Amino acid sequence: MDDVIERNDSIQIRMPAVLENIDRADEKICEFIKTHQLPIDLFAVRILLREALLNAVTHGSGKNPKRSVYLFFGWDESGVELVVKDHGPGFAWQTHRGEFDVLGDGGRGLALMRIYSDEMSYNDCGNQVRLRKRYSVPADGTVAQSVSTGKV
Amino acid sequence: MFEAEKSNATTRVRVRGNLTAGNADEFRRFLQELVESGENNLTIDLAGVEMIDSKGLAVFIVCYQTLSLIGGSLTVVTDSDDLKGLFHVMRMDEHFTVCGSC
Repeated sequence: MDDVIERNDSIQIRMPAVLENIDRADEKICEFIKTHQLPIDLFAVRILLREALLNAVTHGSGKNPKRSVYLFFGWDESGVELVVKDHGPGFAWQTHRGEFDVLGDGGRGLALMRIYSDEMSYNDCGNQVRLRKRYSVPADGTVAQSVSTGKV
Repeated sequence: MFEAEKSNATTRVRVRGNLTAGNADEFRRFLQELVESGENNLTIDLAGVEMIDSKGLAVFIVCYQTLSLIGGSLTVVTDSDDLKGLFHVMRMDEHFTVCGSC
């Protein structure tokens, strides 16, 4: 991974758009969550992280290692936030009805992000997705800090 | 990463590691070769698996559809509540059996 900026309440990663880096980012975020003892559904967060990055690496960047994908992961008193951005033309989220065919060819990644997140939104052109997941149990005061801006 | 063991009319496939975009194609080819060699009843044991992403899930769908066409069967075995939940929310357990021990 090219760049990692880690703070107490967030971590930002810029990485070449290759599949192997999804595994590396997953490991890095798991380590961050464990270090900060965030009371979050780790499986759900890993699903969100992997599907958002998979879309950015494959659809947004064509698995081209010369292109970069950006990840922001931050936490506050109520939950965690993930932002993933690429330089692709974007996903036409405005026309996507959110349905998926169980036995169909695609659409599972979006369905997983919708199911496992508490909030999901795109920027206008659809090349940046923002996902929020609330804690499984309320965090105590010791972890209550403001999340960073999430700009990547 | 993948091992197959035949027992009577069923072939048990053991998976180690995650099933994600990085190895989904390899897993699909492994299962395809088993089916082409006549193994029509597959039990996939996910005892060593923590994570499956959308690409990994797609392999189970392709495998299920292929086996359905030839009268075979697919069963997925996992003790992980996370993985059972994943197959459930994606409604895949409506099409093939997902269980803890079977």
